Amino acid sequence: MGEGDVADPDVITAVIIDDHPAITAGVRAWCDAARPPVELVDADGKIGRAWTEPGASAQVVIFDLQLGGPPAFRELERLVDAGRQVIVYSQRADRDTVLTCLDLGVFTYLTKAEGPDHLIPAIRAAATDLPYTSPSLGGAISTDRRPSRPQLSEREMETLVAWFESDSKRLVAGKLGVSIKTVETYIDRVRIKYANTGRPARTKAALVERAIQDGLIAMEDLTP
Amino acid sequence: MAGGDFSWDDAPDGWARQIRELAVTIQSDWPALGLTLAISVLVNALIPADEVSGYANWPLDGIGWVVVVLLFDLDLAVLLAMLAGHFATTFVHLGIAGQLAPVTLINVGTDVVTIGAFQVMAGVATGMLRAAASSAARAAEAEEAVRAAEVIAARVHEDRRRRSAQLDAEVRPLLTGLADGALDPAADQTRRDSAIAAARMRRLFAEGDDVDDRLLHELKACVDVAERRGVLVDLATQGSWPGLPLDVRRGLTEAPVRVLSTARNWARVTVLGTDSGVSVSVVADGDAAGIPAEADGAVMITTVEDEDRLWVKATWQTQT
Repeated sequence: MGEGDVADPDVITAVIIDDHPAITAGVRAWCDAARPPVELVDADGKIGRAWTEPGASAQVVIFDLQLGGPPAFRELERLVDAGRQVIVYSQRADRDTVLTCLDLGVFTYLTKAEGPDHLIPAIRAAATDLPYTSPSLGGAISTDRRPSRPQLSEREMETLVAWFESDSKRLVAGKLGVSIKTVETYIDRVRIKYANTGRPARTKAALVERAIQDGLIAMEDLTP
Repeated sequence: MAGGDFSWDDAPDGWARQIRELAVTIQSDWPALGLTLAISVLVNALIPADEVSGYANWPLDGIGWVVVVLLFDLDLAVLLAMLAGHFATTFVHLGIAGQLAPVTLINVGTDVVTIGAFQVMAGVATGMLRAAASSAARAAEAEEAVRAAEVIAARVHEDRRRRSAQLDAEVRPLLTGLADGALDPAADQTRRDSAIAAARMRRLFAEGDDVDDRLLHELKACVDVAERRGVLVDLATQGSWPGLPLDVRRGLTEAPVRVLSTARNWARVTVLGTDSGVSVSVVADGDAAGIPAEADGAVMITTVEDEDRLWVKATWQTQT
């Protein structure tokens, strides 16, 4: 833990921008309890601190969408444009907000209720460019009706819906009669398809690139 | 009605409204009334003054009747004023021509009185008819309102009876069982039955509420009961769904109610609305006892069990 020098390559640094001290304290507790721990910088609810040290060099940004006002989409867009891996961690769960964030190029979207189970794994995934789809993000994608949405297979859709409903890959696997690995593959493929559409962003490109390298998805699957 | 700084809004309320209505009606009849009076003046201008009391002045009669017809829907006073104006043209004509001999005046006067009397009576008769019609309309309206109130009261009563019957069938055996000692309050089965009955009662009460999203409202009532038992419930919704009929809402919430009622520590409740239908799903650390395995009316139930977790999903598909 210790001071801010990122000497240990295994230790991930994250900066949290949230105006509720209790949330920050809770996230810090999870970060400290994680093995290996996540080093957390508290921006104290101020977006500016994600742009200055030590926040500027944090690998992951945990971003509360509503800092005492309307959703801060502009600020979010600036962070994404600067190549930051942003995890939106918000009270809101409505489809339009979630999909807007996804379009802007955020890494993933977590509702506050999903924090205990999903925040630390999401931070780890973000630091390594591996896709991470929370149940709420899965739910939003499964009800996406915009004409610009990527084409999903029936199996991918079923998996996504079941993931949203059960919040358990094992239950999804049991229900659909496939392995947990297959469930993960379906969910990740959907995430990559979304990363490959809409507004380009460096973080999206990194996600797609890594997925192709890992053989998760083939080039042909991404050309509409 | 060129009335300087007089405003209709200053007049007493009832009056103001009546006068305003009158003004509106006169405005719509105004061109016809104006034309009729203009003809009245024109006829007097065309016929010689010494023929005014004779047959040549036939419009004296006809114009008045036209005015009566035009003013059918207006107050008697307006008719009187118009008729007076019409008859006055004749006397003005005589006055201008200097033909004011008593015989002429008596002749014309007799005409005016006999004709005018009929026309005024016609006006009075229509006024009485109008008054009778509007009081009949008011009476019918009041009767209609009473009838509507009666129908509503009967429906509310019927609804309450139906609900009380449902409560009776479900809650009474539980309560009597607890009271006479036939049911053991410490037994798991009794506790579970009581929790389910409590959740159903809450749902029943919630069904009568006037809210936008009835499905979610009723589901929240069931969640509320589970939360009171100390179960941590995570409720997530996605997509949209139309207003659903009562039996579909019950079908969708029935299985989740049972799972929520058996949940020990936590539950995740989701509602998902897609183009093809609506589904309510519950994952909890409960057990599958008493969950209807198959379909419940128009709603399909699927159950997945996994060690300590139970996942029940109720799906209603839109007919296409």
